[in-house]
Amino acid sequence: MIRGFYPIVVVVLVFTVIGVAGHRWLFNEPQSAAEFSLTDFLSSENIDIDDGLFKKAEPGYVLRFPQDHIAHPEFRSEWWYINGNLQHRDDAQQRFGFQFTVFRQALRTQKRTQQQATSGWLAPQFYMGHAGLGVFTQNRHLVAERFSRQGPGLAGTSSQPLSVWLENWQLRSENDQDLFPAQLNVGVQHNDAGGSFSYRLRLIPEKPRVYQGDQGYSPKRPEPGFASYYYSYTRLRVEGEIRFDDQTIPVTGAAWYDHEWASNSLASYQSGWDWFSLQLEDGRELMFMVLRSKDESGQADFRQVSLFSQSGERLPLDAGNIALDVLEHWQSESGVIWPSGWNMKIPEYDLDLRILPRQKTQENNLSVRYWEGAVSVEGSHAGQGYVELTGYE
Amino acid sequence: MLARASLRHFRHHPWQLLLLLLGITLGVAVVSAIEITTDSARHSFREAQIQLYGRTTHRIVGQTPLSESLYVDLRKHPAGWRSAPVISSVVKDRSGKNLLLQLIGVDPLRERGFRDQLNRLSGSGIGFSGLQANPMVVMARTTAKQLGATLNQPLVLDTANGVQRVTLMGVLDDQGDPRLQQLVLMDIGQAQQILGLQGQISHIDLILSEKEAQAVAQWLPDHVRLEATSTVLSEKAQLANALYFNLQALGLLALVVGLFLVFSSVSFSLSQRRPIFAQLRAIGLTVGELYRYLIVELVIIALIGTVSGVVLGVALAQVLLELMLNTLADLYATSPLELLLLEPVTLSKLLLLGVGGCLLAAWKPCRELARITPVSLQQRFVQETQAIKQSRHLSAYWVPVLSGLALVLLWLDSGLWGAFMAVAALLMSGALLMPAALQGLSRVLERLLIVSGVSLKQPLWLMLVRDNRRNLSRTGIAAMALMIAISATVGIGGMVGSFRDAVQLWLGERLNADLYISQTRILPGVRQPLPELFIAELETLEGVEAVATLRRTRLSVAGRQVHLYASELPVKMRSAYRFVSGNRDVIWQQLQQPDHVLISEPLANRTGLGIGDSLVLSTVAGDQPFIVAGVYYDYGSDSGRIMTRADTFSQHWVEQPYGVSLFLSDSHSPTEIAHIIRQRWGGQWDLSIQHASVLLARSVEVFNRTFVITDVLRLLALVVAFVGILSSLLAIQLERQHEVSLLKALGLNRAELTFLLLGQSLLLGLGAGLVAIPVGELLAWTLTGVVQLRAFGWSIPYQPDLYNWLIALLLSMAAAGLASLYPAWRFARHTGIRRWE
Repeated sequence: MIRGFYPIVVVVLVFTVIGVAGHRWLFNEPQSAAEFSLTDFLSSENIDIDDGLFKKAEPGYVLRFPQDHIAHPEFRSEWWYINGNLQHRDDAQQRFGFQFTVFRQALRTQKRTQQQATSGWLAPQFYMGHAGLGVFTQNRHLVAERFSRQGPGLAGTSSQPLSVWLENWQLRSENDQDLFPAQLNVGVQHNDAGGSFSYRLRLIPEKPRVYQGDQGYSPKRPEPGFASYYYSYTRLRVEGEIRFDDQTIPVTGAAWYDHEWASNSLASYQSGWDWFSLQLEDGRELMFMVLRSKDESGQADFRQVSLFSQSGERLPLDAGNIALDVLEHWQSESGVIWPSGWNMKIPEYDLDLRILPRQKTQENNLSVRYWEGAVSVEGSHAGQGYVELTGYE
Repeated sequence: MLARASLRHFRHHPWQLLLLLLGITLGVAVVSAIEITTDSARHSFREAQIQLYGRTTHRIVGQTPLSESLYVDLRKHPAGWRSAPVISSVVKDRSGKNLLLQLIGVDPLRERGFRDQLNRLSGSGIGFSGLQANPMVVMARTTAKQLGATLNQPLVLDTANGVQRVTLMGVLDDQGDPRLQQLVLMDIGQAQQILGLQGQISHIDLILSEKEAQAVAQWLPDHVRLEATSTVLSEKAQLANALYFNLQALGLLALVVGLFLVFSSVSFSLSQRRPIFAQLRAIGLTVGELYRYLIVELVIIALIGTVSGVVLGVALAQVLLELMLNTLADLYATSPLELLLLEPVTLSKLLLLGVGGCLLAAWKPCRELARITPVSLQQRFVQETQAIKQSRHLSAYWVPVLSGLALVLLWLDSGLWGAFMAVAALLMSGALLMPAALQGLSRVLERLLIVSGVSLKQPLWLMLVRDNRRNLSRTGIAAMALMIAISATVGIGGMVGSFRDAVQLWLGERLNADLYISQTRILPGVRQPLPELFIAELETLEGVEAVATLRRTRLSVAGRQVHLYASELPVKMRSAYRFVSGNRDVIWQQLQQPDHVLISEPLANRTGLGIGDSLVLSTVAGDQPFIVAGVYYDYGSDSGRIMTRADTFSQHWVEQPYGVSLFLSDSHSPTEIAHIIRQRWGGQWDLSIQHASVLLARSVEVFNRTFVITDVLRLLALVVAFVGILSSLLAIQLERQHEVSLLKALGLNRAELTFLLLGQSLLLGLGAGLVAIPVGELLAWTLTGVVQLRAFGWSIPYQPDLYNWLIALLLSMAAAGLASLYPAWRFARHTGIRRWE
């Protein structure tokens, strides 16, 4: 799954190079057309567009921990991502969902940065954060976005303690050996887009770290050389509280963590992806991703899948043996028609799942528009999860 | 019919109309010029501040630049306060225009809601990444044009970190918006880099509610503080308040003189037209009709005069504003935007002032004229007796009242306004004394002439003196105006002279070392520290008896910025300080104790602090109490200054010495030592080595420059008075045709006639000058001893200057004499004898 991060790369680079207009403004005061836009900001020859200048994911690399938890500035893009289905600690009927992503984008390779630059503000690393909170009893989807340069410690990662932060949004481990258990603190105030909400959650691993693709080397196209490094924690127990509308609600639940980094972008024939992270009640988890090819390209979609057993073993499964059908579509206020509900069949493992959004309105209408929402799983097996959809118009 | 009569009158006496207009125009012009100038200067300063603050409500500042980690901690605080980091520094462009620019380093990602200048950025290709990657700057189109800078071209700047090269990559479409001018915007990281401020930022701007502000203040470490923007802005606005106030007082003085002129012109033109009005009244015109008509006529004339006055004022203001801004820049080391502002409010205020003032001035003569019965209107003696009686009444009642008021206001702590009202009361009572004084003068001269027997041999002399008394109703008011103008000149001249003397004396005392060394200053307000090693080596130099370093830091005391200076204060240097009270030796001894300071007189007056009182100052480690050891005379800053010992300073502040004073032994000449220093260190640093005498001359020059505007205004007021008096006297003289005809008929020859007319005028001038001298001296004393103290907080010993007296007499007699030259010449030429009208 190149999700989350790729929309940024795609949008930024495509807009930058081609100069396509009609994007969202960086600042949430769109009444002034003269304001800086994200593309204005990241634009110009001052960005290294050539993939070749950055390091690339190669097969055979063995991921090392804890150091691979933190940022890899020699790669162009990177993100740390968490989603989770939550419920009121004392009332399982009250359901919530959360998403937290920190994106890192290198504007230039470290080498090409001004030689005598001694100011921390000049580090060529740009960070973007997205935070979402779904309140399903009220059919509400709260979402916020913020940007910062790395600067002298405004955003970034550290190894002691292991942490990822964007100003006061922070994921911080409780010990230096492993990322989890960790604390996730997100506060959205008036200075962010969207409403004001926050969550303070403790994330405790219930299963070991797992590697996507081939030992963490995760191809993104059929052609060789286009891949990322990608690993996950597929089941984290969540305890903590969420806050919105001045009410604090104690919650429990289960979360999913991804960390991925790469230097290349989508192929010109690829339009976006559908990504699923499902946690079945029987203790198994499934990651399934379809990188959609544009109809006119004549190329086949590119698929990735991984199924993990109760103990965290990777179970053999060919992505070609999965049947996915869209059950329904939903048009958001922004006019985009999103798939909304799927039927997923994996005969090898007798899985026949109906994947339904907890609510349809889970569109993240930010500088990049995508759908990121909690789903319930019914059918042959019960469960829950998150789905991410990009590249729909 | 009335209008037609008036038109005919003015057609026959065009100079009367012209002079009436001139009086109004000049009076209004001076007031307008000053009003517009002060308004514009105030506005310029405010705008210059606002462009830096934007919508910032609070600002985190420290005694030193802030560590950027404080900003990082603030951003990582869960409360998520709205904040933006700023680096701010004055730079100078090296293109030869020598324009002072404000370099602002910001994080473009955080600017939204703070300063929206970046929104006006035109030209593509400069996004965040571009700004961050290169030393690029953005400035207003207008400023770029002023500098002659073009896009994508390098720009060389003098900064506190030496000469730096940046590239102009974008212009802000300012559309003449002054708030964007003289700003150089760049990325904060690049600003750190070129200014050599790694790890530091100047301040943090915040947008906070009151509740949030409290939380931030609590969260902040001790050595930094949270300032509300409103307080800072009003602090800065106060800076120049005293100056504006003085200028406005000068402007009002000019208006009073102008209105006096209007009063005299109107009275005179009405008295001229009495016969016509009498006839009109006789054929049935009512009092009300006549009165209403006169008012309408006056309003029309006043409007024309006021409008042309404002136009003239705007032109004057253009000149004045530049002078004023230069003065302010000299005094306060800021670079305001030059922006002439004429707001509708100001305009209507001026119109109201002009027209209202005229109505006020003319109301009385009009009403009287309308009330008098047609018969008495035609009889001149009625007017004369009335005028004399009236002036006696006025003098008898008003002079003691006004003088008493002045005394009370000066006695009480009535503030600056009180002082100015006292000045006005003084002037008024002086003016009211004028007719009586002239009468007295005439009487004394008459007695003298009679006693000495001159009157028998030269009857013309007696005639001159008596005629003068008789004409008082017409000339009295002109004489009052003349007196006011002259005494104002004497008063302001006396004050400025005393101040100059005091400052020069003070500078001479203060600059008592032999040599002053600092790094050459390129940017005002930016002082490069001198290397420690250099100072240490200076001490070992042969011929150097004592070395005193100078450090300073800026503090906020009682709502205003003051500088705290520190030096080792060797014994030789101590004679530079004179104390307001207390024993010098005791004071110097007190200062040896820890945490003792000396404060300047303006600061003591402003805060009410005295010896032994405690003064809380914000140090690097937070607020600390200090004890006042003494109060010293100082004219360097009206905000005040604080002085302390170098070791006390280094315990609480971090600034390094920026200057060194050398005291040499008698066997070594300053030139010789300066040469040695330049030889040895001149190659390493750009040193400025100044002899005390040169520094003194330069300081005096700066002070003199601050007086340029006062001088210009004084001259302006004088010109108005001069022209006005000239014109009203001229009008009066020209209207004496019938009288002259009579005199001619009686057999006076040309020389005798000229003697009579000129003599009368000179007598009038003499009278005005004689009264103006004591009134002017009183005024000067008040301005020096009371107004200066109340406005700036410093006391100035008043020194009367006889030269001013001479000027007063010469001016008044010249004005009066000039006014009668032309009529005398004209009447003397005419041979025809005219009928008594």
